[in-house]
Amino acid sequence: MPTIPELVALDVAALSSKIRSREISPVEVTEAYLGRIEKLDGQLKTYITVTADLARAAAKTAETEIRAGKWRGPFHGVPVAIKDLLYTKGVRTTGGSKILADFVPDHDATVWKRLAKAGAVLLGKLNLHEFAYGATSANPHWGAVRNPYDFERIPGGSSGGSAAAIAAGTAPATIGTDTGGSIRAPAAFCGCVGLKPTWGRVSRHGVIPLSYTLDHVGPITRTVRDAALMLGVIAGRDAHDSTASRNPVPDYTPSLGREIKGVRIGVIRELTTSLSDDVSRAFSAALQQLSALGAIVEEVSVPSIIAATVVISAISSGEALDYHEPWMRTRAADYGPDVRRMLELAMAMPAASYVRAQRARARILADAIDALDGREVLIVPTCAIPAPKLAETAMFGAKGGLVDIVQAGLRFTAPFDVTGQPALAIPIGLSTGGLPLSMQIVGRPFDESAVIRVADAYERARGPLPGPKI
Amino acid sequence: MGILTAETIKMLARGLYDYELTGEDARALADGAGPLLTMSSRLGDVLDIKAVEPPFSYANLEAEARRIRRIKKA
Repeated sequence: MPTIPELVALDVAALSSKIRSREISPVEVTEAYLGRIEKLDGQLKTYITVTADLARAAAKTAETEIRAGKWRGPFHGVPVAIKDLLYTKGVRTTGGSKILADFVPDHDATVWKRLAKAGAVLLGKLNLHEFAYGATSANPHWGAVRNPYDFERIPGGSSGGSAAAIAAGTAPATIGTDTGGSIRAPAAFCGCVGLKPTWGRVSRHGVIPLSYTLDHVGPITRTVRDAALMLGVIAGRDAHDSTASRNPVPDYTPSLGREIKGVRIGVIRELTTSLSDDVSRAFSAALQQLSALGAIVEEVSVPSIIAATVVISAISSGEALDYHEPWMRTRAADYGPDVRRMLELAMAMPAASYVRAQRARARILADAIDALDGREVLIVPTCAIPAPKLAETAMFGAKGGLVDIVQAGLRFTAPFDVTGQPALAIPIGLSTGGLPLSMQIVGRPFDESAVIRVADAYERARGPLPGPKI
Repeated sequence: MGILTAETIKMLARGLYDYELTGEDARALADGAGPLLTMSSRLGDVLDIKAVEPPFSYANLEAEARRIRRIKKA
C-alpha cells in the first residue's frame, strides 16, 4: 500500500491501474487528496470550493462498482478538479467572481458530465483569474493563487488554480479553459502539461464564456498520457453546443509510445525572438533532443502571426463585453479593477475592428497551415519568461498603458487561439532559479494525435523533472 | 488617423452603455486603448485580407437555430 506522499505523486494512468487492480481504493486516494488540500490550500488558494462530501460519496460508489467488476475506464475512481468556470449541478459556480458568488447551476457543463459518467470523483472547483479575463490568477475575491515553485510568483492564468493544483499535488488531473493562453501559460509556469484542443473539439456548453469564438476547454495534467486520456473522455459532438465538432473522436492512446524518427517539425521563426536566457537555452536543448530522436527540425516562417495579439484583443473585448454588459450597467463596482478596466476598454472598440479581426483569423490560419506543409507539427516556446513575481505583473502601467505582460503572456499562445489549432504546452526544464520552462507543440486542426505523439516522445526522452519543494 | 481622447471614451461609455467613467479612468483608457485601436484598425494594411470573408458560417447559424427550437419544444 503506497504512502500518502506516494499516492499523490502518481499520475492518472498509474492511479487508474492500481485502482483497477484493487491495489488501492478510490476512497483512499480521495482521502489522500482531501488531506493534502486541507494541509496546503490555505496558502496556495488553488480551490474556491472543495466538494469533500460529494467526493467521498462518489469514491465509495466507484469502489463498490469496481469491486463488482464494473470498471468504467481510466478515470473511474480517479479524483479530478475543474476550473470554477464550468457549471456543476448543485455546486456553487462562481467564475472566480463576486457577482456569481452564490450561483448554483441547475445543470452540468458537458465536460464535467462526461468526466462524471466516466466515474471521475470531483474534488472541487478551482480558483482562476476573475471570469477568466486575465493572466495572473491574482483573484481579488477568492485569494491570489500561488505558484507552488515559489509562493511569491504567479501561477499564470487564467487557469492558475488548475495548474497550481497539479504542481502542488492537490489534484492529479484538472480542467482549464484557454482563450488567449489560459491553459498553456499556467501549465508552463507550473511545470505541467496543458492541452488546448482544436476549437470545437470539446463542447463549451455550461462554460461561462469569455469570448465565444476563442474559448477552448482542455486538460491540465502531469503527463502527456494523462492529457490524451482526459481528452478522449471530454471530446466529441454535443447537442447542447452547436459549435462542437461532429468530427469523430479518435482513440489518442495509439499515439503514445511511438518513435518520431523522420517526423518533420517546423520552428516558427517569428516566435523565437525576445526570449529570456533561460527560455532560450532550454528551448534550444529541447530542439536538440527532438533532433536526437530522429525528428527533422527546420525553421519556418509565418509572418502574419505577429498580428495575433491585436486580433485576439479586438475579438475578445467585444465578445466579453457582450456577455458582461448587463452587469457592467448594474454591478460594475463588484468587478476587480483589472477586469473592470478591460471591459471599459471594450466599450471603445469599434465593430469594424471586430469584423476585421475575424477576417484576419483566416489569413493567419492559412499561413500556419502552409507552414505545416509536409510537416507534422510546429514548435514554439510557451512563454518568453519563467513565472514572474506578482508585483511585476500589473496589466496597466502608471498611465494606464498596457505593459509588457500582454506581449510576454499572449505573444506565443494567442496565435493558436486565433487559428483554433491544437497546441500542447510541455515542460522543457527549469530556469537557473528553479522555475519551470515550457514549449508548445502545435498541430493541424483536429490532429491532436500528431501533437500527442511528438509530445509523448519528447517527454519520455526528457525524463522526469524536479517538482516544487513544498 | 484620429486620436481617441478621454472625452470621446467618456461619451461612448455614457451614450452606448449608460456607464459613467471618471476623468482619470477615461484618460487611463485613452492611453491604453489608443494603440490597440490604431493597430486593430490597421490590420487590413498589415495583413492581406482583401478577399477574406469573416469566418461566420451559415452551417453554424442553422445548427444554433435547430438547438434553440429543440430547447423551445422540450
